[in-house]
Order: sequence, then structure tokens, then C-alpha cells
Amino acid sequence: MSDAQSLGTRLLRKKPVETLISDTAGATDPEHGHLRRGITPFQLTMFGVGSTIGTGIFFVLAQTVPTAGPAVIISFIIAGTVAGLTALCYAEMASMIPVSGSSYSYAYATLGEGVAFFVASCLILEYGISAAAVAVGWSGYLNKLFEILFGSGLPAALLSAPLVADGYSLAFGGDGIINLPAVILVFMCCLLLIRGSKESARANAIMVLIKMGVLAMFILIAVFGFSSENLKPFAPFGFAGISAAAGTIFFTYVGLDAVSTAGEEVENPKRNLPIAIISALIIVTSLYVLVAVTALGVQPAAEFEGQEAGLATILQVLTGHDWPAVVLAAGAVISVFSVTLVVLYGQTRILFAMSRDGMLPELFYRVNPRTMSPVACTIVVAIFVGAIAAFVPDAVLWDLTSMGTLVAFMVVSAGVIILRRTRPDMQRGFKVPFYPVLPILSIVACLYLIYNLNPTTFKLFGVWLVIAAVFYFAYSARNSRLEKAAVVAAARA
Amino acid sequence: MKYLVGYSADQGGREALALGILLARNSGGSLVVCTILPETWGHPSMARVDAEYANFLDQHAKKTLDKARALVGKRVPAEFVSRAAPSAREGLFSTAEDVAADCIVLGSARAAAIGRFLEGSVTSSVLHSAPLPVALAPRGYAPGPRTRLRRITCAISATPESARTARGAHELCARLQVPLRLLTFVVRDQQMYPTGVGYQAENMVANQWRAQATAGQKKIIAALPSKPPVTGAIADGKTWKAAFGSVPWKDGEVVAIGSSSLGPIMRVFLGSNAAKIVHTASVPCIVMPRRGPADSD
Repeated sequence: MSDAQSLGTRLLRKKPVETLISDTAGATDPEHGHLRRGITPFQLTMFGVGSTIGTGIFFVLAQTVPTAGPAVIISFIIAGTVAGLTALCYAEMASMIPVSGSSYSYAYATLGEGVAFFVASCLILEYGISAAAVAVGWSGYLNKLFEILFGSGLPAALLSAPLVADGYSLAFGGDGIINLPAVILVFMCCLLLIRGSKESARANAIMVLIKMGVLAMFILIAVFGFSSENLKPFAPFGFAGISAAAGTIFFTYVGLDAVSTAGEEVENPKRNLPIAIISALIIVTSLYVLVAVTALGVQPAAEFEGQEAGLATILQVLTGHDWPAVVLAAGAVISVFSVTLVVLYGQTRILFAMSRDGMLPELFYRVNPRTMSPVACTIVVAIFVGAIAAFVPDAVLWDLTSMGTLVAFMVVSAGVIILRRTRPDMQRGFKVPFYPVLPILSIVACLYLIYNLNPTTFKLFGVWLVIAAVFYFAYSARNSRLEKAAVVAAARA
Repeated sequence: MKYLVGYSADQGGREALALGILLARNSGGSLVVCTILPETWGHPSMARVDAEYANFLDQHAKKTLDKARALVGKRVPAEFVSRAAPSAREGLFSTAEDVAADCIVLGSARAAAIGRFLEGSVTSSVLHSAPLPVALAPRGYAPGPRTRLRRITCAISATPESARTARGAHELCARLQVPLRLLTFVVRDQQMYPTGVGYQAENMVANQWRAQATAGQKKIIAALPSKPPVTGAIADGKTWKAAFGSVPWKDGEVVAIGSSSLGPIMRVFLGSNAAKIVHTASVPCIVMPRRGPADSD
């Protein structure tokens, strides 16, 4: 009786939208029974900018300039365009199902449990792994700050991972033991989340100002050291190099989905969602490109490789003074902290939603009575992310994040096409323009970037998917809430 | 039950007295109205040091207690005492011991908003060390002349540990012969901005907590004796104040809360969540001492 469902039905069963809605219903309040559409397009744009900048621009040049040369500027534009396409598809998906949740929830309601679990395992890369990657980058800037302010940084053994990425294959070596600052950052964020601290809309606005301020400062100072000689040869590794770098850079656009998921909160989503997505994208891409152009104009391409706290170092060398580097490093340390907090928060809530559906053990959705927050879930996430940040080098983490995010977005784009065919009459708050060209373009673009990621990433991603699949069939498929409902229904029949 | 009212000749004292009368009306309770005086130099001396001051204090106490006597009238049996002590807190505790009181009743500081409670220096120290329950009257507390205690609401967090608090409140209800309501707070947390997981994600956590709390309450209620009757309720809202307003309150209802596990056993110790309840409650609160595991059965 307990195996009431076949494998096919299990993989394809869908969570009723009504259940999804009741999961996230607010307090029973007669005055505010309906969701208030309170977010303005400007605020929404700032959310997009706030959650995107900081995930990578402070660190990514050291990784991508060796791959693409000065042509990395083009990589930024390519990655940004792909991010924009996927964000528009994501917005249609999010607007179809008027609930909160990540693409995991949307997939569960429309494409079935199997796809939902697959998307969720990609999301763990998008959130968990990117939190680790960002924490590693943060530790570089913190160390830079210590070096300038106190004359000496932390010992190298406490600053880098014991594993090194040697030509993208992982090996033990180097003089690192543990990346201590990264671990400390993850656990500080964990403590804040356990206490129930949240970044408010106002705090986000302040963070956006800090981030844009320090980047603008970088551009304004670096432009005086600009030498077009440094941009030659422009594309030493040809288009292959540009594409490979674009794949890695895609990671710096993670966070744009903060705009896509706001369909229920923003007034007139049909008009305002695309406006917010595209304006956020234009602001972010222009800042990235300007930072990249000025950085490349100041420093020869060969010097980027392996550079920690790159932007601060460039300013220090260029001006011969410490203060611009201190300001930039301090800005990075503050704002990347907030990015890590937001990303970790997202990860805990995705796992929370999954465990409520029975995909993960009950431990993940137990709410602590004292703080009224999911403490156990937060601690597990912090240990997982902290361990990765401590022992794995960031080059591998960035590509893995890009991989997970691209695959998840690809599924979402495909979902848009599938649902236009299978559920044409379902209400959509926002529709993708130029259907079906845009979603198809989005899928092709994602595939193209994935194809250009390096082979080690594929191996790691494969291993991760196998682990996820084993877990799904051993645990989730049997413990799913829908499984229990099906067993009850079968017993009744 | 015997209630020790910490009385002073001001509005706060009158409100404490009103609460004491309300409580003492149930099941043959009585009052001890007590005013604490500063200690004076009591040793015999040529210069009669402090004698005028001691005289003044005596007069003051007498006047104060006369006022209280007029307020109580014949409504409940009451004694009136004054006591000199190094601090108001010590005076209250030793009087409570002498008269074998079951509960200390105190008023609010004047800085509180009307209808809310705010602790002053005396109440604050009492709330972190009293060996017996402490009842607190909100500012402007004035029950009608016929108002009686109708129900006690015990605020608990619906965990296995809080079953002890619920049992304590249940015993109190049995003595006062009023029904008990268990109340758990679901205070909806702020939403994180920005977020990729949607802008209602915190509601998901709050709803889960609500379900968890409801199940926890059911378990606790099932373990309690059936008399007096026990009901359960959830106070759900965006803030503590909204949550408090989301459930109905009877005229003549009080809230009972347990002490934090941070404090010593058998003592009152106001925890952080308890403090929020005390400050947002529009009805009087009784803070009960922490019960050790030995009290559990």
C-alpha cells in the first residue's frame, strides 16, 4: 500500500497552488487581508542593484582577466544580456503563481516534484556555494584592510584554503590551512539570522549607496591612470576566452532574481517588472564595465592573476597613497557582509520550504520558540557553507555557482514555454515579450555559457547531481507530503 | 490567597490597590496593604538624631494607610502595615515573609502610556528576584466596582518546558476558581530586503511556528486536569502589540507569565519575551517564579 505511486507519478506530481498560497498567508488581519502592493519600481530597481553588486565585481577580475584579457569587458556585456533574458523569463514564472518562494516552489506547482528537486539542488549551488565564494572574496579585502591599517595581514596559513585549483583540477597543496576570516564571516551572519535580524529596505538602500559610492570612487580615481597601451592586445585568447570568462562572470549577476520574485508586491507588474529588471541590469552592467575598463587601463592584464583584493591594490599602486585603498576595502568589507547575509538567508528559507514539503528532514523546518526563527536550519547551512569557504578555493566556487544558476534559469525558461502550451489559460501577472523568441534565446544563451565553463565544473556538478538524485529517491520521494496524501487517498479508495 | 499590595500615596499605589482588591475578591482572598519607609537612625542619642524625620515618616505612613483604608472600605478583608527597610524591595520581601503572602501586587511607573505597564526602579528589582508571584497593574488601571477576575490567560511558548508554567497557572486558576486560557504569540518577523526567495518568505516561517505552537498547546492541555477548564489560543500579528490585539480579552482578565530559565529556581526573573508581553499587555500581568523540575509532578 505504501508504494501507492509509481516512479513516473512521483516525479510528475505537483503541489496544489492553494497549498502554496496558504503556506505563505499573512496574519489574519481584517484590515490588511490582501497583500499590499507596496514596492515602487524605483525601490525594486534598488533591490536588484543591491542584491547583485557585491556578489562578484570586487573579486571577479582576478579570475577572468587571465582567461579573456582586456576583452573581459565584452564578457560582462554578454553575461549581463543573458542575465536579463533569464530574469524576464523568471518574472513570468514568478507572476503565474502568486506565492513567495524561489523557482523551487514555482517548479513544484507547475512542472512536478522531480523538476522541483532538480531546481532546488541547483539553487543550493546558487545560494550556498555563492555565499561561500563571496565569503572567500571578503576575506581578501579584510586582510588588505589589516595590511594597510596595521602594517601586516594575517598569516597565509589562515587566509587560504588547503585545496588549490591547479589548472581547474583540485589538489592539496599551497601554504593554506583554513580560510579563517571567511568562516568567521559566515558564522557572524549565522548568529544574526538566528537572532532574527533582517536587512530592511532602508538598510538595503544604505548598502546600495556604499557599494555604488566606492565603485564610483574607484572609477573616478583610476580613470586618471588610464593608459590605452594596457588594453593591447585586446583579446589575446580570442572569442573562446571571452565566452569562458562570460560563464564565470554570470555569477556576478546572481541576485537579479530579487526583482523577478516581486510580481505580487509591485504595482502594475506588467509595466514595472520589466522596467525594474532592465534598469537594474543597465545600472549594474554599466558599473561593472566601467570598473573593468578603468582597472584594465591602469594595470597590465598580466598582473591580475591571483590578485586578492584587486581593486584596492590597484588604487594603492596607482595613487601611492593608502587612503583610497582603505576606503574601498572598508566599503567592500561592509557591503559584502550584507550580501553574504542576504544570500545565506535565501538558502535557509529555500531549505525551510523544501523540508515543509517533506523533501528534507523535519529538522530544517523546526522553528525555535524563543527567537521564532528556524535555528537548526540556519546552523546546518552555516556549517556547510563555512566548511566550503574554509577549504575550497574560490575559482572553483564561482564556476560552480554560475553552473547551478544557469541550469536553474534554463529550467525556468523552458518552464515558461511548457506552461504556455500546457496551461495557456492560467493567469499571468507578467508575460515575457517576444514569445517564443525570448525564452528560446534565453535557453540557448544559458547553454552557450554552460558549454564554455571548464570541465572540472562539469565533473563537480555531475557528482553533486548524483548525490542529490540518490537523496531524492532514498528519502524525499518517500517522505514527500504529497506521497503521504497519496497513500491516504489510496487507503480510502 | 493573601495579596501584599506595595502601596504608595500616588496614582500607581491606587492602581495596585485596585488590582489587589480585584484579585482578593475571588475565593476568600485577603489583602495586606503595606507601605515601605526609609530606615532612620534608631539608636538613642543625646541629639535625637533623625527623630523629627522618623516622626514625619510615621505621620506620612499613617496618612497613606488611612487613604488606602478608605479605598478598600469593606470590600475585602485587609490589614494595613508600614515597615522601615533599607530598600523598598527588601521591605516588601520581608513583609511578604512575615504575613505569609502569596503574591506581591505593584503599580506601574508614571512614564508608561495609559493602559500599559512600565517598571520603575522598585518593580524592576522585584521582577528579577521575588520569591513569590508578582502582579502588575498597568497605568490607569481602574476596574469597575463589580468587576471580578473572570479568566487567567497564561502566555507560554508551547514547548515541553513551558508545560511547567502552564501547570503553575492551572494551579493558580484552581485556587481562584477561574478558567485558564493558554496563549502563544506568533509575532511575524520582518521580511528581508532584498531577497531572491520572495517577499512573503517570513510568513512561511511564522505559519510553521503557528502550526507548531498549536500542536504544542494541544499536548499541554491534554496533560492538564480537566478542572478548571482550559482553552488554547494563538495571538498572531506583525508586532507584539498587533498580536496582543488579535485575541479577545475579557473585562477582569489577567495574564500570567513564567520566569526566564536564566534566573534561579523559585524566583521571578523577567525574560526578554516576558518583558515584551508585560509592556504590551493592556491587562494586568502576574509574573510567576520559575519552577524547578522537582515541581513538575
